[in-house]
Amino acid sequence: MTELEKYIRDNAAAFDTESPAEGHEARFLARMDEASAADVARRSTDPAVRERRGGRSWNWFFGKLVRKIIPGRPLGAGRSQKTAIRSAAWAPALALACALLLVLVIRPGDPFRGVSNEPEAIYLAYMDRVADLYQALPLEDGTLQEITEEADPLFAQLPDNISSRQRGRILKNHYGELLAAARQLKNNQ
Amino acid sequence: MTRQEITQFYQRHHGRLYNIAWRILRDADEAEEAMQDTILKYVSEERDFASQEQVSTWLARTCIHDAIDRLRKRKRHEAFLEDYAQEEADEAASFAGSESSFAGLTGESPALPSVSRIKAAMDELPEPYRLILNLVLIEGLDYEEIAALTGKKEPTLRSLYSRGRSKLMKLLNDKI
Repeated sequence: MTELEKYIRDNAAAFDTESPAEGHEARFLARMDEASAADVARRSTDPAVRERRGGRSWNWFFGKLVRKIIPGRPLGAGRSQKTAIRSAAWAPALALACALLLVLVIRPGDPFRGVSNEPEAIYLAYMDRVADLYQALPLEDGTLQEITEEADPLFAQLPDNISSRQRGRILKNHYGELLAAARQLKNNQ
Repeated sequence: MTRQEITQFYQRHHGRLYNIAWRILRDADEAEEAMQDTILKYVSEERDFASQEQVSTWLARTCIHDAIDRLRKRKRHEAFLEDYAQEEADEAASFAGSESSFAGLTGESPALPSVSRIKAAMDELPEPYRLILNLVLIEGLDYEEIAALTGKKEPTLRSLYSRGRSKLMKLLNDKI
């Protein structure tokens, strides 16, 4: 180590000559109060607080879906022909609804099924899937790395002013596409 | 921690953390944010360390990490730190011999430059050199830690440091 390097290291504290702008402590306390309030709301079990955070319950959604698919009165004595036709038509409609439910809600094969909208959780789930793919491909093949590695991960680049739901959707779509491309590579091996 | 304890904690640590962030970010608002984020993180996670030294080390490392993340987001391109290592590969030989001392001009045993002169010279360095010298010399990180923070390989960082140090020496010698 040169004399200069040693001198800098020994006098590192002397390089602390800058000061934050006036009012910084008040700004910090305001941020701390805001963070505390947000944390309380997030942890709240009060349905009213959670409802205000957005999103409906699954029961509400499923109820609306079922009522859309099955508009007619239930089968019974004295039904008219129109009712009979409408009643017969609802069975395939219900089958279609179940298929849509399977694809849109349960999403078999979805790599992010059950993963929250937290960016870090999505990225970690993505890395887990990538690790699984690495096991299936020869180590010397660099193509998988080229597909799946990002110079600056998208999850760290999204602006703060979009909702967590939108952020989750963007990230899951993005990393889902990367995984689909990587799986294509695996299938072509 | 009570509000009063948090305030005292902030008053004790904000100065050093602000300077750590400032040296990396060179922007007063961002440095303040990074500093405050670090302290808020410490307070919210309710960490428990055995000594003040461990607290200081944790705070410094967290602040450096936050500041570098902000710097990367600002830059948003792969060339972060790497371009200079590649561009100046041919210049390495021109700095040979300038690393060892300041004694070349007068032949006498040289006095070391003041902190303010060193700071001024570091301010003139291109950002990648200034950053690596800052992290190694002032923040005291080793190459392994810097590699983990920046995602860059150790040989790249060593090369950057070597060239940065040479440039700093040249700047300081030129000003004698």
